[in-house]
Amino acid sequence: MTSNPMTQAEYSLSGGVKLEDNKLQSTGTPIVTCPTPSQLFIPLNMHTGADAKTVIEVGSRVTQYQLIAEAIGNISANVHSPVDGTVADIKMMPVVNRSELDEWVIILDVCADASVDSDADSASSNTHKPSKRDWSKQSKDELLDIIQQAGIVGLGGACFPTHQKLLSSATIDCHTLLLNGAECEPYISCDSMTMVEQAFEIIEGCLILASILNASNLQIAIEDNKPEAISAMTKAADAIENLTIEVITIPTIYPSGGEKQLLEIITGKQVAIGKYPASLGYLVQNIGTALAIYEAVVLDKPLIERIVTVTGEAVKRPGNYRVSFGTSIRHLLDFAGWDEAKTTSLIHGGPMMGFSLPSADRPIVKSSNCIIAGTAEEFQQPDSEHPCIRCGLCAEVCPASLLPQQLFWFSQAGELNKAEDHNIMDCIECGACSYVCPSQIPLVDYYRFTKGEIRTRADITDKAERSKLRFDFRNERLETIKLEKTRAREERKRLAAEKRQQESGSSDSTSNSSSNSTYNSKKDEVAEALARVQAKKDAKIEAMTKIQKDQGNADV
Amino acid sequence: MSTLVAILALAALALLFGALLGYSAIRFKVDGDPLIDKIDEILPQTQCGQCGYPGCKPYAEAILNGELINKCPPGGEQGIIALAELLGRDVISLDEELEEKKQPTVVFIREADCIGCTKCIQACPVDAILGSAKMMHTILIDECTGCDLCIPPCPVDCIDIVPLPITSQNWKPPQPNDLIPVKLLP
Repeated sequence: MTSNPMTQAEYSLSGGVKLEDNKLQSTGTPIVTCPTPSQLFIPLNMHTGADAKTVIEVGSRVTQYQLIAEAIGNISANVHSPVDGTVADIKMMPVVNRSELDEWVIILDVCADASVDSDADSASSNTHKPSKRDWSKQSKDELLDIIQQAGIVGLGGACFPTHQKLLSSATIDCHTLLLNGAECEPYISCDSMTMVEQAFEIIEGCLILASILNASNLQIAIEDNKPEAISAMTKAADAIENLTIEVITIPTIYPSGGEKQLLEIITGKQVAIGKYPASLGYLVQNIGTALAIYEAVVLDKPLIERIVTVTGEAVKRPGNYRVSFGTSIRHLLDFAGWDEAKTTSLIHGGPMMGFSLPSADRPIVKSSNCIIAGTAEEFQQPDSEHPCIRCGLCAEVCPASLLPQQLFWFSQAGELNKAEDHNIMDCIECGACSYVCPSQIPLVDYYRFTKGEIRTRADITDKAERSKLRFDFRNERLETIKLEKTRAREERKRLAAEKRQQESGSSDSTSNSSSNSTYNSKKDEVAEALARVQAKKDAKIEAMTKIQKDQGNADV
Repeated sequence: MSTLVAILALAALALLFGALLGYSAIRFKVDGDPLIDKIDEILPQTQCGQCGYPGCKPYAEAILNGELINKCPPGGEQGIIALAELLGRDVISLDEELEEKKQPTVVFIREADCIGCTKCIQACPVDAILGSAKMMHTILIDECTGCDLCIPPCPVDCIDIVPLPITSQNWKPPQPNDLIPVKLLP
């Protein structure tokens, strides 16, 4: 057995803010499985990328783990049924998103007995399962395929399809796999509790990832405000023979959990603009994703549930819950003892990067790491915005080393080009600048707006280019058709002329044998000509007589 | 003697550079005017013909030959500003006879009413209509530029102009404060 080192991070983050943790409220109790409600509302898009396409119909019976919607294209993810049940409806409904626009949702009626089953199933996921797969014999492609089939996405928040991230990193030489257990945002404790309770599973997921990537270094980064998680992970890492898994303690500073920020803390290097961590030879995965990979590969269980932190003053039993996707947030909150009357702000995600929900009637999705039901004392309504006093605090805390003040002015003035030149697209929307702003300017909202405008402009340019191509292609096609028509007409003309020539030639050659008929036709022609002359003459005479008649009348 | 050397040297240099210039004029000859492509890049490529020219490139050529830069409604004010910047002309407002669309639109064929005459297909400048004779036609929404050229030829008026639907995929965050608060002094 090798002794695994527990190290401190050597470097620190440029920028960042120290925030109050507010994590202890939800770490007092072990993870509890939230009972499955009678109906689940499962959105077709719980990931970055294209909507998944339903493979079931209204009225179909589905079993637990069954594929109910399949990924379309590479940037998309499969969706599985968390329960045995019946498809009640597929329709557009409000889901969890900033835009508050409806999305397609599969509504599942849960079988009464099935919910009990799934509870027992989930609760026992820590214990030994009979059908454990030995993945060490499986090839890299097979493992990737299992991950893709299981619909696994990055559970850190962005929900980017994991197999795609692994594929794009596999092409580059990835020497280090870094598991991200930083969980830097206040209130959220789902990763921390997962590490405490399922450290061995996470480590095995880590090994699976390492074998896919051929990564030789394995690291796990955890903020120093989670001593239980650090000791649990160190213990689990020590249990692995012949392999060193380094558990690195990093300072507690927000946003240390951002992929690029974490790398800066660990390596002291910044990822270049527009590049991914893979350019430094690193692949960063959230520990929740590693657990999901373990469950998919070893237990053959697709991604159907996640650990959600439920916290805030307005819930009686704050803590971490294992929740099936599609469970209504209201159901989850009620299970945690929710006092709806006391709630003034309902937040999906953390207080820094999350967003307010207008209603609790929204489903839990793959990105739902935390639900905060806050009271008026806990979350004060932000004051109105004051003018910028150019104090520069925002620039000091920006973890991406941007110039937030400049970006703010460019955003206000709609100067997209300048904002883009100042790398607004590298803003990770962490909210540190808004947090420290003494003028209460919602800086991140401005950046989100400007980024949206820039993306729209890029889309319009793309479409214009495509339209031009299509227009040119169409013109070319019409031109070709026209050319072909003219050519065909000329060809016909030429053929007809040839035919005529042939005919006249043949009539010449046969004139002797049929001189009679030729003679007759010539005679006819002559007769016709004579008749025409006669008719002309007659007409002339008639006209003359008419004129004479007229003159005679005039004389009279 | 030195004068002669100087003259000869200069003459030799002149010959050399003349030959070089002459050669590069032939070797690196640019076909057409590159400015046309630059103008064409600014135009929105809807190919709608509202400017009175059959497509964006013909209008780009016309602009270069002195046509006004305010005849492209889909390009809008932004387009006029970009053109003015490129060509060093004054920014003018959009031609009064033309109307700028408030929001992007696409067309939609009421399929029940379509008789399959293919007239709209022939009118579409970007091949965004799918169908064949006596078969129902439909619009490829991703390719439709909203030029509305398919509407006049339709004999049964079964094509509607609809605003481009906003979905959670193409939604963009709103501006936090649209208005700058200005306090009026008493």
